Amino acid sequence: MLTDLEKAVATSIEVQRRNIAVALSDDATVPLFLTLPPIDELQSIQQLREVQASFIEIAAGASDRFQEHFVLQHQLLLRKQEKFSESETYLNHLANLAELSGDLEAGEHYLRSASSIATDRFFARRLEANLLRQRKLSEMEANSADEISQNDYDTLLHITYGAVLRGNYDRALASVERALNIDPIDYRGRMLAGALYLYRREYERAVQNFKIASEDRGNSSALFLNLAIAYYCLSDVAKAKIAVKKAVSISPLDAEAIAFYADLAFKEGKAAETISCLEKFTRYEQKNAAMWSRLARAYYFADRLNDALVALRNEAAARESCGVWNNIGVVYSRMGNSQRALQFYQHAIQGNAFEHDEGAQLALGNLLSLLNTQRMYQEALSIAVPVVESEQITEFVKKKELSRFCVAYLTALVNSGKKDQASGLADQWLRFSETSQQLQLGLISYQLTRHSLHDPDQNNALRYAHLALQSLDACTTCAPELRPALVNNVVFAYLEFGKIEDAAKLLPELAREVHKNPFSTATLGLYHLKRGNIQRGEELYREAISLSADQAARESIRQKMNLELGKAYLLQGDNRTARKYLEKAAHKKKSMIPIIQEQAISVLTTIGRPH
Amino acid sequence: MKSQRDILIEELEKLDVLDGRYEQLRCVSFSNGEKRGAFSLVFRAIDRLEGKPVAIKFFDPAPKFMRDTYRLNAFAREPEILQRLLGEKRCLQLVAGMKTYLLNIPTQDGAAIATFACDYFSVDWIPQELDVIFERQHEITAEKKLLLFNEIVLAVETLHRHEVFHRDIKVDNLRSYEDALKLVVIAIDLGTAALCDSAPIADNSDYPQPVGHIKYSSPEACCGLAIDREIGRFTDIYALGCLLFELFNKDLFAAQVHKDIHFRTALGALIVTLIMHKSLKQKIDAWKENICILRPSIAPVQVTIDGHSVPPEIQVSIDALLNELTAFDYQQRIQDLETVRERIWSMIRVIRNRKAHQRAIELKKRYRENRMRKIQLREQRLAEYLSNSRRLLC
Repeated sequence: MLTDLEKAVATSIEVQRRNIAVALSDDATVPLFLTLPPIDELQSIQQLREVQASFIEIAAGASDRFQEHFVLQHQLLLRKQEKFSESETYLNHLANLAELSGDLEAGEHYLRSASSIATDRFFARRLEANLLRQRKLSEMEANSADEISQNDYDTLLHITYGAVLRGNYDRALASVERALNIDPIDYRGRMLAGALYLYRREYERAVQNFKIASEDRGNSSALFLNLAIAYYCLSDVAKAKIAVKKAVSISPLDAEAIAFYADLAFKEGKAAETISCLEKFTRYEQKNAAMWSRLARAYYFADRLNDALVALRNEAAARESCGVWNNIGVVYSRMGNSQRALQFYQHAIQGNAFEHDEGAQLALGNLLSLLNTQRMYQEALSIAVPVVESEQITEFVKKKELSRFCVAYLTALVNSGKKDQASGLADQWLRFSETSQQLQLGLISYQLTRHSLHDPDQNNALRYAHLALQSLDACTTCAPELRPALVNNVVFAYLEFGKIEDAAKLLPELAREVHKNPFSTATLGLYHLKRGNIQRGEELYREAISLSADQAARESIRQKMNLELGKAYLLQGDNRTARKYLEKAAHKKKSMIPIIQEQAISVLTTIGRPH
Repeated sequence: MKSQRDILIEELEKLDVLDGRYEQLRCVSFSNGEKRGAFSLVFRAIDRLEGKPVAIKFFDPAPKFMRDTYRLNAFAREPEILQRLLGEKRCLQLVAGMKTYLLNIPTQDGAAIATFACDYFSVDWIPQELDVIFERQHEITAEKKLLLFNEIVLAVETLHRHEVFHRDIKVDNLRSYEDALKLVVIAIDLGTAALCDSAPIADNSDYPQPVGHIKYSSPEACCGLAIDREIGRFTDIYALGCLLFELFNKDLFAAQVHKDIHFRTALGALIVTLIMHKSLKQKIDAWKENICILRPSIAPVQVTIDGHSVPPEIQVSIDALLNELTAFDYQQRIQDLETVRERIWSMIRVIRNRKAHQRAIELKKRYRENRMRKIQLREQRLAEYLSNSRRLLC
């Protein structure tokens, strides 16, 4: 049975992408029906905002308070200047307090005074660190130009940091390698070298340096995150996961590590395993929207929809965005509360936000798709037509996030009796070279469905089947759930036009979704019926019906099953049983797909009236 | 117009005798025109009865302090605490308990006289400050520093033995005197001290205020838990660790701690969690529940980093001791100060008998060389592997 690509893609929670940070030492478009924004929900979100706590804000507040205290301590210690002005420890204490008070220049002054008294290199290194913090790189380099400095481990690390700040990575690597010649064990040098090798894409060297660093200091989450990134770049996902899990266990508040772990686990289809660490993080930090969205996604894939909703409300309280309104709509839709889902999608696209916001673009597609499911085709068209007829449509078809909207628009057109217009538009968009790859696949699937089911045309169906397989292999940026859906549709097309052997070649790939996905399960049932294995075919079809959550889909699968069972029994000469099934498929009131009904009536005519 | 504080100082310094026994009163709370001490005024005077110098401590009559119930209660409690320590060696001795001096100030129009009751009590005058050692630690031998630290531990241990927790141990609150050619250290200023069996003084502030000096504030003190009697003990132990660090390193302990992002993060997370609970018991329970999650990322501060003056033979021992004194979680800190002293003495013996420990140092050196050799081998192997794989690709 054909999978509806419009439904197969994008009905999941989208999270904002994060750049990976390598640590060196992360008119409501056109309102067809007036729906009020979900005010009660918005109020509860507002209340959440008032009680959200953030350890980052508290830590910053505490830091400011500490700073005030240190200013006072600095002043108090200055009173002892007469007594200790010649003491290097005293001058260093003054420098410490000045730096803790945020007065780096005063710190520099004390350190220069201490350098003139002291005989060891401690103050030279302290001064370099101070100048580095002040970004006085030239002065820092001038301070460390002599030969003794060039052979000092800490100074070489300071030079490395300075070179990184200047963007001179080759010089940075040369300095850190010199430092490692002096001390090959120290954690700081190894971590710095690892990060620089990672930047140069020399991943094996990066891994080795991070591993040596971890032997010296095993409790740095940043180090294990770096190691995880290096392993990931080497395509060793298993080791990357072990390393990032270690980073998260060391520091459950390391946002970078947790985000990386959550995204990695999601890519593996194991988002649920990150729930506990995301819950732990959000217990302390409730103003990080990116973490709330990841937690919501993990709940969603663990089927904990109420929890997902709570997480999304928290996300909205931390930061309102079209994306979060869309995601709330997605969860409500999955919960079966279409009315609420429609309200949130509407809210997300207010003020033509879809013109620039990815979250609103997804919401627009979801809105149209949900209206189609509700058979509210006219309403769907009223929203979509102004968008499609706008001058920006050529820009919109380039956007991956709007592909679902475009396919949903075509569905609404077809169901409003405008098949030709839909087909023409699909061809037009397919011919446009800049159409997004995801939309191309959606359009191919649309044409494939049309020519294999609604408007059977063997040549075109097989042409699009071939094109679908080609495009799938070429598409690198498409949603991963697209592939099994499209493969299923290709197998269906092959079976419909008797290309059983071609279909058989794709069965191993289809089999991965059987018993999970109703459409793939039904298609395998069709394959068995075409092969004459009626019992197995019927079993699979019935399983597909029970797997389907959607009433319309259940009825469509049942109608197709009845037609195919009728044809199969007819082939075996059992006209009586065949008639029973064909009559069910031809039932006017229960018919979901008109062409199936027509085919059933046609076969019934050939059998003739019962004696 | 003179302030109440100025009038009090002026009057007292002019007095021939206070309470029939104290003469030659001189205010010592000001240095270079700026006031020392949080809420008190200290006068040096001669006690006619005992024939020795004493320190007379008045509550600062500045209006901002007179309205501060927390400060007023803490001041009233100090002589009560000192009473308990009477006759104890290594403890500050109370000379006379709380008395009141009536300060008469004419009103602005001069028509009437307002009388203010100024409370005071007197204690022994101990002149020798310890900052001369701490601010010049680089000039002092390790053995002398350890002997001094042993004395500081003894002073705190004596207080703890009497169930008194100082909660503001810092260099400026330590004094010393010589007794039979031996330096004896005493902790002064018990204004923020607590008794194990007394009720906590309520602090009306919603935001946790660290009790004591910010440079030596322990994480639990920053979260407002140090008002608990039992936890106050650990706050003193943390401060001892800070002092140990500063005796052997040019840096301040606070400079090392505040450099660590994980320390700040964990502290922020604990404050966020504890702030949600009202009662002290709930806060302590919340600490215990959350600390296991937060502490693994915090690297302990070591004395033997850049700027230290620890002799090689005691480096491992001193870092281990510091780690146990300043553990982020107070439950993981060393509790028994006698054990601390035993360990200090074993370090002193090691210094006195260097040869016996040369072997251990030699072993450590060999272990390090061995590791360096292994790392070199690993790097060679990787280089060979990479060149081979490149050749294969070609």
